[in-house]
Amino acid sequence: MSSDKQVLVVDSPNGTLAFVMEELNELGFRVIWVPTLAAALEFIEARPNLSLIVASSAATKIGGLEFLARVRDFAPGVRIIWGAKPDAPAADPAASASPDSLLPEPFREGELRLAISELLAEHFYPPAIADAVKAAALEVLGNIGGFEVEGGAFLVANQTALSDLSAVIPFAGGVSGHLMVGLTSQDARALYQAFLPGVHPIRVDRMEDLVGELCNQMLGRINAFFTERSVSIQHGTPIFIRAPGSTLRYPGRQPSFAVTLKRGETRVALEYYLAHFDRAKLQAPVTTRVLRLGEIRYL
Amino acid sequence: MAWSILIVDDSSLVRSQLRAALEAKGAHVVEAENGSEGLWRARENLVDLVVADIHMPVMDGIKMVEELRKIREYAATPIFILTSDAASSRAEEGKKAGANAWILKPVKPDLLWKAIEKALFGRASSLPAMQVGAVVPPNSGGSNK
Repeated sequence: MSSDKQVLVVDSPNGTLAFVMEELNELGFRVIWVPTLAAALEFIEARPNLSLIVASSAATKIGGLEFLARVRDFAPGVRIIWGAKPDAPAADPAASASPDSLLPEPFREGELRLAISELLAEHFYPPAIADAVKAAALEVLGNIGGFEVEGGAFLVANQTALSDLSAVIPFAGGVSGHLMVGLTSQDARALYQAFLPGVHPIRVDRMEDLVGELCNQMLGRINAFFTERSVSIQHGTPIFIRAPGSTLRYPGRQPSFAVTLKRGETRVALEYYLAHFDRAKLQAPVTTRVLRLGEIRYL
Repeated sequence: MAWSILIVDDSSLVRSQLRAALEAKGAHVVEAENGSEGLWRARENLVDLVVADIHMPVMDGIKMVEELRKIREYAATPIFILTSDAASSRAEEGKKAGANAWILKPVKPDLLWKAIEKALFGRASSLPAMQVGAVVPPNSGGSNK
């Protein structure tokens, strides 16, 4: 684990951020709790290589703006989530000392979880990879059109809830991990009809096949991103899982990157898991030409 | 022209999509779920062109193309690889095995059909005349299955 995977939680001793600390720990971060802004500043001045600060208004009543300005001086890269009571004066988002995310308190678990994972995603999945995952999914679903990324893309600790129908393809080589695509039976049926109109009834194995093929095509597009950077990847055929309501636990502590695509009421859930990759390769220029979607190369 | 085309893909969705698109153009379609079955189907039905996936259980597409090229009747048959694998190095493997084209999934059916027409231009169908007759007329009430 790199030394900057640390999160500072500023909360009063009887605060409500315990669940956040537990989840951040699950995501592989070292979590440090301090009860006051003064203690937080002391910590940051000594060890400025932090990823994130989550501060509750319970511990930030006095000196908030000054604290933010000092943090920006000492640790300009650190991301800050700031809790605000409804009666607090509105922060100026353009101000240099504004937080990255200002959330109303009491914190709503889902909202806070999303803000945290969005801000921390780049520690595990740099924007170039995150964009490649989203672009791959949209390209593959582009054949039937109308899909968009729902909300943000976020991190999931190494345990995830499974859909009715899921397909997983592990990959290895220059990078290793897996891609999982999941759909509810209802969404799989709707999508199958969009891909292949006029087929009735649609058997469950056919819907499963659709999930597997989406997973295969999306992984192919994501792999193209690495192939362009001379990283070779090998993968096999999909593994199918029919276990609605169950959870899947991955080995290791690296979180996965989750994206949901939406078209009307139909949702396609993706989870991309990278066990390891060479960040230096992302800086390397694109040297290898890969085929574009639908391109035909005569051999 | 009722060309006979073998589709080898472990995804029933892809096979069904291609079947619908190619039959709409008047082609006769034979399906196989993996490379091993593809070889068997190719021996059983002399086809004009093969469209094969790479990642398949039992026998992958590259191995199937290698084996197909060893069969005298398939020495010059156009073979297209239809895959999600965009790597040029893999395309080179396909070329070495004997494939003629590398196509990235998902392909638009019209684009695939143009490539098929280009590859088979001027070639007679390998289907027996009676079978061809059963395939060609649209809305004739006949069936090719």
